[in-house]
Amino acid sequence: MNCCPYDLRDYWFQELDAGARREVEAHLHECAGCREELERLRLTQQSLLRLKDEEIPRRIAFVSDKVFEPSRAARWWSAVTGGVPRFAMAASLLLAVFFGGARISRPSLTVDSGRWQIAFGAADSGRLEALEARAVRHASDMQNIEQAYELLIKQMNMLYRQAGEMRPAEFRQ
Amino acid sequence: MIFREVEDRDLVLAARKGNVDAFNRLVSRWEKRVYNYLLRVVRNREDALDLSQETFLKAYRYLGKLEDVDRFPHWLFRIAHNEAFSQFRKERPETEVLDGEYGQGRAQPIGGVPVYPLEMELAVERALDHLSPEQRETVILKVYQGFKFEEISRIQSCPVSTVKSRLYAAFDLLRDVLSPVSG
Repeated sequence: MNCCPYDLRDYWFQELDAGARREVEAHLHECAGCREELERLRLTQQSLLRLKDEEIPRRIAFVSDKVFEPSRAARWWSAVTGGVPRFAMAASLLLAVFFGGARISRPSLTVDSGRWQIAFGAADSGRLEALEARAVRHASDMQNIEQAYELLIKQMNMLYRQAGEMRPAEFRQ
Repeated sequence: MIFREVEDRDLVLAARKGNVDAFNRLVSRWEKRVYNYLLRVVRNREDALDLSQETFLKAYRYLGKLEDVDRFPHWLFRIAHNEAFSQFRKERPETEVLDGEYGQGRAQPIGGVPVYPLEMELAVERALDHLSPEQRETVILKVYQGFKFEEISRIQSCPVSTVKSRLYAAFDLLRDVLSPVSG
């Protein structure tokens, strides 16, 4: 219907201001065609409203429920780091403790009599000299033993040759 | 003593400050409406439930971005709308649904006059199937949810004139289809 001063559907859906509504209502008193049109709108909407709302089958999870929590990986990362600034501070502290401790304790690694030994604190220069002297003495002793052994072998061979009857061949090592 | 029901805006403001109970109350208030809106748009209970959950999850996450707390209802429905139509696009990525594409030339009156309420409901559901998703959503937002044209235009992100043309075309179609039921 074009005779109504406003769109009848705007009136039906309550989208007109009070003044416009009054004008439409005055027109409806006069116009049977528009009343009929309005009745059709009413019946259509009435049919639609026969469709009732359903109850929700299960409630939506609340904020305190697990679905609103961050993922397991995110929670783990959060627990480990506690956020980037806290993580950076903790990492810096750990590195400072490590390098500071190393500087203070001055660890040293030595091999003594075939065994690895780790020691903390500054290496003692006297101890190093003693170790060095001991190694020199050890080398000297070994050389002396070897020389003494060679001498012993020579003497034994000479004795065997002089005796003659014991063995024709030289004594073999 | 004057008892005043806590308004949505108070709950939104409290929830934005980290009050979890306030957001839970908003969920309790709106879950049925959001679920029924999504149910009528996507026409599948499981999907409607999943999308409702996703809607509230996003609402909680982005509540701080809501500029005008008085607009919480249609902001919430805007999220629900995006969820529903994002699902439509996933299901039918090659199809762009246009207004008037559905039901043109195939709107047939539903035969017989339903006697029982269940038959009535089925008849209305079948009638809504004749509409395009956008037309159906507009009818749902106006008739079942009672939003104003201006609010629907924000939810659907389109001009008010488009909202009106969708609704009026849908009503013309529904009137023809439902006339034996309503008559």
